[in-house]
Amino acid sequence: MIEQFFQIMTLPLLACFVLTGIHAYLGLHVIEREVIFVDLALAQIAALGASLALIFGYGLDSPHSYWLSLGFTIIGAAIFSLTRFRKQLIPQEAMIGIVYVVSAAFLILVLSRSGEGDEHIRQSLVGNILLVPASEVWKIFGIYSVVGLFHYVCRNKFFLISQNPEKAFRNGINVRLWDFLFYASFGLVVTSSVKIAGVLLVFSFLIVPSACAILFSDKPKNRLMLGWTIGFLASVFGMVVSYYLDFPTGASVVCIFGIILVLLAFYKKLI
Amino acid sequence: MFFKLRKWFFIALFPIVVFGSFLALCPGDLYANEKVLQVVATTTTYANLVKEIGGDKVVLNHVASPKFNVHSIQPKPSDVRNVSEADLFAYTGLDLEMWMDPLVEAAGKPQFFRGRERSIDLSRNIPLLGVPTHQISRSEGDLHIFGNPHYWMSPENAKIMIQTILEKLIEADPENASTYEQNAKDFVSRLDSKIVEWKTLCAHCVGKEVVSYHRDSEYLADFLGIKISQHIEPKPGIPPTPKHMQFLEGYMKRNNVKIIIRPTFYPVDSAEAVAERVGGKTVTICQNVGELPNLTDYIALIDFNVRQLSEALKTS
Repeated sequence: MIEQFFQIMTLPLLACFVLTGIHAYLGLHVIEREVIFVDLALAQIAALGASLALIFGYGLDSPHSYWLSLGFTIIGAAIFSLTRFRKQLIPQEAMIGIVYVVSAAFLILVLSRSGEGDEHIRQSLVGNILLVPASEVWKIFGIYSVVGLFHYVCRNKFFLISQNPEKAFRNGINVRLWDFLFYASFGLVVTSSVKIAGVLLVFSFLIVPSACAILFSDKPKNRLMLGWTIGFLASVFGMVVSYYLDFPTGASVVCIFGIILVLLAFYKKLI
Repeated sequence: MFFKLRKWFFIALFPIVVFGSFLALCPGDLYANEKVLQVVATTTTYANLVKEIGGDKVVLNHVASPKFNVHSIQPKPSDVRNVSEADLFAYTGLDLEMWMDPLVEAAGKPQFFRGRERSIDLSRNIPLLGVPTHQISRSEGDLHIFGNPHYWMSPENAKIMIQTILEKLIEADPENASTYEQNAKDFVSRLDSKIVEWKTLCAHCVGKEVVSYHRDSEYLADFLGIKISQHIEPKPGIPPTPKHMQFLEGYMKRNNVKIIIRPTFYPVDSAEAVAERVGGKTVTICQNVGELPNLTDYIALIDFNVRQLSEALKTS
């Protein structure tokens, strides 16, 4: 019985651990910056890029499609870093929403001119963590390690521009550049994640651990430890629930995340 | 911080205890019968067809519920488990089940990959419709670059599929070959007499035209001699543009086409809207066994669809 569980759920569980590792960290930035839905916007603009390959006659699994989606992610990163000003006229959330809906609408236009319908592209936004192949787990492990290392090396700058951009401006740091580097590396991570786990699950891995951690600590290090623990627990319980009650795997993990947040809020007497 | 962490840990412990006991209480394998062949089919329709041939020598599981569009199924852990325990795997082939390759891979069954020894590719020998004749280009082609995959909707094709299933069952379990052959013979003769009945029932439909929402009824129409040349969806999954709706309205009026075929699982406001404007109506056609409660087997499925079309075209 337990053997069977591991036979089927090991790869999804490992994938969840890898996702937890990077997203619990990136989530801290996202919450500090109050750009909650930025991952959805970047995933959508990446999907638009991938679909453009169809117009040029290449498949969605071709390298052209991959590079186009990466290129569009970079464009998205540039938009978000260029629209952050010292004195913000349009809120960043508004920009994120606009990028999301406009790229979603463009996607519909592109698909209406391409041969293939939206089934394939929708697949790339839904993902199914249950069926993740070992090669993908290795791939994201590699990419996220590099991004994680980059962020670790430059952690002072990244945390400063997220937590206290005013101070960063005063210190003469090139905030635009560091913002761009942040969003570009972030975009690289979420577009890879969304492909295997889908937008719902990626959003949860990003936001819930850090939202929980903020209730308990204000030091980034402690928050990160707590975030990782929560992500780990949600992944394990999500897999168990999905396997034994035979529910779709991604949705199970998301619901467990929700339950954990409610329990912690109870504990902190917030509810 | 660490004092708080400890309390927090106890809260985390609670679900561990609950799920741990749940794990311990879970029953073992419900049936571990080694005598029967275990077959997984991607759809209920294929599961039914394999069951007709295999009888009590096979146990069937299916992946896609008939209530959903088979394109966008999300397999569950039980599906992976069923596939990993199966002896044979039956599927549409072409590119209908896009979740199939990852599913087979996750189950660790390379022998179920397309064209491998334990896979039953039901599209074998089927005369396909809608195969692009010009050079395939994704920018102008169709979703289905291999041809229209809804071939099981024609009972003539079902006979070819039965032959494929029969060969694969015998290959996997030669001991029961005579049983399988007998079952297949019985089923085909039942199907043959039904085919005569269906053709008679729809004799008045021959040469008439209908419009379809999705490209999923061409084989059925072809079997009955009904013409389908226009679709509400310009491309699978893409909503119709205003121009296309206008064109369809004109086309249907000009050619006195009154019937629009609709599937059960899409919202089809656009089909209803066009039907209303041309003074026609929509007719529901089912794709799979079990899509409606009374469609218990393949013959019931086709029977329902034939009667729906026969009725609709009688009044028009």
